[in-house]
Formats: sequence, structure tokens, C-alpha cells
Amino acid sequence: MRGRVSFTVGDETADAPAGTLIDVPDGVVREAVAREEGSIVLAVGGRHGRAFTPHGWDEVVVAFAKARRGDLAGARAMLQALIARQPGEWHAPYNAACFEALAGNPDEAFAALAQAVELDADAVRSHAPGDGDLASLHGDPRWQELVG
Amino acid sequence: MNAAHVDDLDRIEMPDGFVWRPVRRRFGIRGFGVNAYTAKETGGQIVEEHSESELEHEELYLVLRGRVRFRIEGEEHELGPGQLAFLRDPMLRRGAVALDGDAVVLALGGRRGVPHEVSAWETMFLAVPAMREERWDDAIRLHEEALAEKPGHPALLYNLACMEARAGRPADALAHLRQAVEVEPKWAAHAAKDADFASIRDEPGFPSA
Repeated sequence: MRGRVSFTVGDETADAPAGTLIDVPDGVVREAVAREEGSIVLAVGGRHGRAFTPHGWDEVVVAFAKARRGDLAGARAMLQALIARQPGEWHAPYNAACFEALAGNPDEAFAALAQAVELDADAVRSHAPGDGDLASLHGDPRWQELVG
Repeated sequence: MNAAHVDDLDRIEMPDGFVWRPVRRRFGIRGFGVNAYTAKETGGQIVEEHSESELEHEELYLVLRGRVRFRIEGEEHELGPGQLAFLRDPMLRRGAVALDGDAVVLALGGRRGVPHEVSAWETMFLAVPAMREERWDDAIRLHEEALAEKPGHPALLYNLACMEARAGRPADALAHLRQAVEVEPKWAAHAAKDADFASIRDEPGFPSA
């Protein structure tokens, strides 16, 4: 959109000046590095054959930014609203668990993690062990119980 | 890497003056609608005057380069590079002219709550150069391919009938026009006045308005 970035898709890297469009198939790892100050990349996506539903990751990012600025109540309210809006999605309570763990609230973190495990235990158990946000919970016996 | 610069996309000049730069089609995107538009010259149309009343798409327009004057329900908005205009209401009439000759607008759209379907207008736009050059067989082939994906689509059937009539294939034209009218009766009134059907309007079986 503006500036110049170096885009890597899979094992290929290309220079992408403003006005470049890049199509990335599902499942391929992609990243970009700005080569000019003020560069902007617009990302657009959708799943073929499915109606678009907001995933909620953007709200998680905003909630964590609020938390970093010290607005823990505002961050918690956003994450709880996301859980209420997406009751079947494991990643909403999972992110709430991350938030509570980082905020030093292990009881709230384990309650949210248990909710996430109930929704998709396999997904939680593949993400949680390597997730630094949850590191403070590793020594608690409830960790073994939930994550293994 | 599957990449292209917007200036390297196909350039399809439309009768209304704007230039369609197909993005969705270039990459074979099926999950969402996305296209770019440019103008033939400074002051020229860059986004056609239209509403989304038929497709019911929400649309986001992003000015990628140059300055553009949007007119949305009669209200003018001048946008520059990096500025976005979102039109949630499909009924809003919108269009834009390029204030700089090299302006580029990216348009993204989709219907809320339903999976994205490739719009039939893409085929109609794609067939414009063949129609302009009276390469009727090419234009007909494009529509037949689109109808294989969207069987019974009334606008595609109607357009196909237009081209078959122009190509001197009256029986095919009549058959497809009748199919179009069967699905969407409003096309009968269009056909009654459409110059494309001048050669078959007196044929028996031509739909009455």
C-alpha cells in the first residue's frame, strides 16, 4: 500500500514496492519486513466456501495493548465479550488465560484454560506448552492436569 | 511467488470509461472479491456509477495511488493514497473520478453472512474487448464457461443470447433469451428494446414484454 517491504512466502523472498499484490495460499508461512519507514501492508483474507466471520484475533491484540497501557479492566472486558460472542471457539478463553497469567491471576487463568480445553483439548495442548504467556502456570499442579 | 504489481495487471477498458484491472481473477481467489480500477485519463471515471443492490455486497474502497473524487449518494469526498471508504449499505449509489491520471483504487467486497461467490459481472466485463472487436465466438465462449459454473444465471444467459444474435445464431439466441426470461421475467422488457436482438425480434417465440 505504501513504502517498500521484503516479503517471504514459504522459502521465497521478494522485494515488494507499493502497489504489489501477493497471493498466499492457505497453510503457507508468510512474513514481511519493512524496508522503508512508514510502510503499510493491507491484508485481506477469507475462506473459500464459508461466510466470513471475524476471528477475533484483532480484538485480542487490542485487549493486550490495553493491558500493556495498564487498563487491565478494559482488556478483561474485551476478552470476556469475545468469549460471550464466540462461545464455541477455544482461542477466546485461551487468550483470556494468557492475559490472566500475565496479569498474575493464576486462578482466573486456569479457569479460562479449562474452558479452552473443554472446547478443543488437542488445540490447547499443542499450543500451550510452548506459549511463553503461560510460563508462570507451569509449576502449578493444575497445569499437568489440564495440559499434561 | 504468486505476486504482481497493480500496473502489470490486465487492463480492460469498459464502455463507461473506467479501466478494470482484474485481481481476483489474476490470482484465482475464491474466498473474497477484490479488484483494482484505474482511469483512462485525468478526470476520467475510475469507479463506475453503481449500487450493490443486486449482489448486496458491502464494499471497501482503498485509494492506492493518486487522488480520487468519490460521489456517494450525491455527496462528494476527495480521497488520497491510503484513504479508505467503507460502504456497508449496498443500496448507496457510488462512483468515482480520478483527479490524477495514474490513480488506482482497490475495491474489496462481499455479502455479509454468505460464502463469497464469483460475480457474473466479471465474465461480462472480461468479454467487453471481444465484443468491441466483434469477436463473437470468443465472447460466447467466455459466457459458456461462466454458465458451466453458474448454470441458469439469467444475466449471463441474456448476454449470451445478445452475442449469439450478433453472431448470426438466431436459434441459440432465442433459446438462451427464453431461458433468461424464464428465470428473470424483467429481461423480456430489456430484450424488447435491446438493439442486439434487432435481427431476431420478429422471430416466433421471441419473449413478449
